[in-house]
Amino acid sequence: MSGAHPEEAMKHAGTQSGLIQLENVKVSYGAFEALKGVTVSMEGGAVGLLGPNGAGKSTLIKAILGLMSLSGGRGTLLGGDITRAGLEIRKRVGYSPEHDCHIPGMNGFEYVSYCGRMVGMPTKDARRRAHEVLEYVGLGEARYRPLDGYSTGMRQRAKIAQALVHDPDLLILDEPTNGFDPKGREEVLDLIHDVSHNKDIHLILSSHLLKDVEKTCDHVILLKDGALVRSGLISELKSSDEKVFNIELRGPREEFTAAAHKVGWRYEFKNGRSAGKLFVPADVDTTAIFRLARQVGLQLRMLVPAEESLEDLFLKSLED
Amino acid sequence: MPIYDQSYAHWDGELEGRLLRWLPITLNAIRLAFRSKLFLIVFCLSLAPFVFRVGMIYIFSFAPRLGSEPGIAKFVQIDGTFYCNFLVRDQFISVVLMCLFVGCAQIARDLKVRALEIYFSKPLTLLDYLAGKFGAIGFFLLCMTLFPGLLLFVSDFLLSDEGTVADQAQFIPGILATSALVVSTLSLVVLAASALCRTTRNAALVWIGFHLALMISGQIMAEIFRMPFLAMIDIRVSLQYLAQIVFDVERDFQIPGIFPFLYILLINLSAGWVLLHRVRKVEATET
Repeated sequence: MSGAHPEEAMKHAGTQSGLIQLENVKVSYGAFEALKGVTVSMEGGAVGLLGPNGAGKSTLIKAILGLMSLSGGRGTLLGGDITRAGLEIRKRVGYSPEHDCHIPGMNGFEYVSYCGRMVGMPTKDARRRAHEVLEYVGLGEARYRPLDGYSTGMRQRAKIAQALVHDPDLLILDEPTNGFDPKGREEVLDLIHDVSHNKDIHLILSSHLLKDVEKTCDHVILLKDGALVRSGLISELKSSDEKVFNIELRGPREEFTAAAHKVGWRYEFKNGRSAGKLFVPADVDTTAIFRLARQVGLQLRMLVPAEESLEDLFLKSLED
Repeated sequence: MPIYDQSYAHWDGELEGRLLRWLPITLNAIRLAFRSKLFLIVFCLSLAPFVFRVGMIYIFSFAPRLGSEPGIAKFVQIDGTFYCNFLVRDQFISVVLMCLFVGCAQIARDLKVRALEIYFSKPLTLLDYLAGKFGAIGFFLLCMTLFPGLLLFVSDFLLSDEGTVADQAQFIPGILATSALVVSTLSLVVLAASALCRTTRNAALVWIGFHLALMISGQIMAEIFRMPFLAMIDIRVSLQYLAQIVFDVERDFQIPGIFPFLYILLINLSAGWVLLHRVRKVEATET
């Protein structure tokens, strides 16, 4: 065992060739094309994989793990060719699947050490390491309890532990906060953030919970219908070509919505509330907003600049 | 205290070579099987025919005159026919019990809890996984065939005054070959049944149904066509006939051994195809 020395950790992570490089990657299930030519490049860090159901997130994960044959394109993960070096890639990757897929009849410790053995760790190391990672994910006290008796949240932690047992260079987590209570969710998000930002382990987090991604990731890959919609640094994507304002109107909002739409703006309001969000081009100033409100005969009761959330970005990208 | 404060340390050890990557799967399955008290009882009971035989050999080694009585002599005489019957007929119930208690659960249970996602996220190929599962059921079937066969050989060798070492050693290749035939065929078939179902019970029903269907259709066809060798459609009868050829003892039928051999080969290949097709289809393609 060794501590997390930055130099060693960087060598460990093998970032010279980047985390992920995909060129026109296509995956088909028979006639159905699940990935339609995804091209994306990420140097490393914590990457959020976002998209609605059926967007191709899980297929992309299986493709980069080298578990699926590509119907087109090529790509690398941690420098390994995903079409040829699946086994080598999976040695360096820890994967926690979305589904509850524990092995019956085992306790937490046996499960994690067994997973270490399957990767190829010597028995002694696998056992010692299982104790450590179970402690790390918060299952130290429960390690000898049967997995069948674990709560959903505990099983999620056990899955994260089995993914970490061989000290991977990349951790891939598929919906890791499913089944957690709010406190447990926060703890696991803290853990994921810690792993990806302090332990020099790359992270790919697939989630439909935008706040989870926003809290733990720096980069995002947004998929829709098997195609890449956007990718890049979350901070850069959020500060793009739009300004966002929290506004509150008095009067019929529909007219304002229609007028905003006519000039190319977007106004979203929540049901039953007078407050909403207004998305305008970056060169529009507040005067123009006041002018538009006056034109439609509305009283503007609040206008506050707001930061575009990942949710806004997500919804906007899906609309585009 | 936040859980991440309990620290994480990197591991800088070396991963072992991938030649024996299937072994942890086998060892784990064996360990889990022995954890069940019911299975332990079944396992011990399955060895009863073997223990009984050893006991007989031991007893009659002290009372050779009793053992030479015509009715008893046939029972305790250790020759090719004895091994042939012991491996394929006497131990067959034990083999069936092992298949039901261990074999049927192997893949069905993984399919039920989606454990394949865990297995294939590790640097394991489909063949590693199947080899691990085959190793587990194979071990238990060897416990019912090869190991008792060899122990009987050793017991007979140590306790019997008859024959030379060379005379007795001629049975070893037969024991090895017959055990290999029985273990490979029945392991592959039970794993294929397990891969077709998502519960152990259904896998057991499929496996039993398959064997019963072959047995009944074999007997019916043998009667209808007046060709007794058609009974070899039953896997056990084919294996017994092959064992009779291997041990060079009196045969039940008079047809060339190549036919049952090809039939057993076909059964093995079909079971292998089912395994590759089913497990691959559920999870992912191998790279």
